[in-house]
Amino acid sequence: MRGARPARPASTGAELPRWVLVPAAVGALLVLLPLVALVARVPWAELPALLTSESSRAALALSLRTASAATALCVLLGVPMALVLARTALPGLHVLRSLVLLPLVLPPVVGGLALLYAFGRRGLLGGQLEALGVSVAFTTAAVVLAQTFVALPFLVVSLEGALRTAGRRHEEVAAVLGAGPWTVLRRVTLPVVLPGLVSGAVLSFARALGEFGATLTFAGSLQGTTRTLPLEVYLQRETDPDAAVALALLLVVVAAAVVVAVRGRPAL
Amino acid sequence: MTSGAGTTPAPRSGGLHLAAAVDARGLEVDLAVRPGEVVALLGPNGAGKSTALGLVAGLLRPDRGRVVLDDDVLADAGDDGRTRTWVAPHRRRTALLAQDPLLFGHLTALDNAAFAPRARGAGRTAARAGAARWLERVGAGSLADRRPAQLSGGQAQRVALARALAAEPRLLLLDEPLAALDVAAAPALRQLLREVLRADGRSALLVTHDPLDVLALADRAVVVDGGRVVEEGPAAEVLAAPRTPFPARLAGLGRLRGTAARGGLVLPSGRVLPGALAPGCRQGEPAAAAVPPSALALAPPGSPGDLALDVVAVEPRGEVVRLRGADDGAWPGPAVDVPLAQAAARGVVPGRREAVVVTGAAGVLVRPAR
Repeated sequence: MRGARPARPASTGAELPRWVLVPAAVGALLVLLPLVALVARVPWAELPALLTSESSRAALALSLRTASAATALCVLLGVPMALVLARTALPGLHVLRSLVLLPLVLPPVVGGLALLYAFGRRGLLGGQLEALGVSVAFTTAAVVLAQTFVALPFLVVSLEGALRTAGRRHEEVAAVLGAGPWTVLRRVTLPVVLPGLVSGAVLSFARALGEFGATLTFAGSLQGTTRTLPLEVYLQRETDPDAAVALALLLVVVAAAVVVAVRGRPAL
Repeated sequence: MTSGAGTTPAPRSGGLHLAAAVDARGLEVDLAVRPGEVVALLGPNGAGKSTALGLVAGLLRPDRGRVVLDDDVLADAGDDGRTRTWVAPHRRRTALLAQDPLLFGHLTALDNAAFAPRARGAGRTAARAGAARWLERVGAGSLADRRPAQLSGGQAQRVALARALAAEPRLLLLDEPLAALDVAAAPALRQLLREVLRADGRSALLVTHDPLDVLALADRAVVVDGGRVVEEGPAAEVLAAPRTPFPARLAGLGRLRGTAARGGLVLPSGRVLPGALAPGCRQGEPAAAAVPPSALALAPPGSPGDLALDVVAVEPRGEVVRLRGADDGAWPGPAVDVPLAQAAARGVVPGRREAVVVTGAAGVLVRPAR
């Protein structure tokens, strides 16, 4: 099989039944067609004005701020979680792993409701928080909390996978060479899994940026305070469809950039 | 294995004393490395060699027993498994060089070599200066700015050696350090290891499957089989006159049976294989000796020869073909090298019985055989 064409793995041999192509193409269209339709509806001429309107700018700034804060929070909490999951043998780890994954499959509205009953004024911790003079629900902090809640699994799963793939042998060599646990973590473990950490953080950021259900339930929709881009898109859809489409395009572009950034990474 | 109630006193002679058991791996070993000594740890796969290294490095906890290095107790689980002393790996001052260089991919060769001094608190400049000297020492000075991905296998292993030496270990742990290198790179690195180990009087525990490594690098050999130390002695002696099957197989020796006599081993043909009797081997009793293929030749056609060899394998080896005899229990059977032309003329196939004569092997060691 040495020809002019570079050999592709699994190019011949077991072939697929041809009809598989039909549903596969339908599936691809299902993803592509709505995006094409959306882009076709973009009022290109008014786009700059629509994107720079006061409400748009407020939503965009709020979204960037909260999604960045949520991503930072995901890294701060998710890295230790992934380390515990991948590197310890504590009892009940598999329960913890399932719990971490729960927000991934939970309807965001339910997540928002749960957050409300935990941190809301009449929630589980509401009394204690109020005594401290802190009110979380329907504030920007609530937006960040909701986004972190839904985005955390992306970082943990991505990083845990990277940690398991990397294995422990480099860490063992480093320890024998005289590096204490903190030095091993800082100088060996984290640099080795950095690509996994970055792709996890990018995915978390994207998930946080797109968060809708939990935010609406737990944080409400106040312009400049809790009304993020997705909420603004939903709101404008009735009153100013052009503005909604323009903002939606922005979210599509960000999503596409994230896919390009993360593509090729083994995580997720 | 140490015995008696509670903790036994640490031997006060420096070096490594490992007397410990790991039940999950079926290991229960007792071995020592004297200061300045290189000990080869031999044994079949799964015998527990790497587990023993792990115990010394601190990557494994013993279920019983203790690990003592230069009079420091590194681990002590007593006889009951209740840990009395545990020194974390990074406080043991050992260094590990494995088959895989395991360099840190995000650091340059220089920073890899500077890793241990940095980890112990040296400043960046001082650590790098020391690392540069070690890279020079291992012949990798010109590779300082390279990343591990830009190094060949042999170059990477040199850098890994520099990294291990820069840690100034009290004991170097070498886990098949040459096994992954190609035939072009291995001899140069073996020579380098020899220089580094000999010149600086380093203590090392070396796991290897290569008899050349044992002879070139080790002072003493310890054979582990089934999780126990079954033989130990001067490296050359263990390979030349092994007491157990594994080193015989490693050295390519085959076992000949006969009767012990004053001059050596009397073969069934009456021919005497010249040699000395090991202590405890009495004349007239069943005995055996391990001989290299070079000591044997095919008997001329028609001659009964000194012994019969049931050929089980025919292995081409350059200008000769090696005919391997059937194993004698766990021991490798005798083998004979036949020149290609002779092999072609006679026709050699597995399953045939060949007559073999003894032509060489002055001074085998004759051991009792049951």
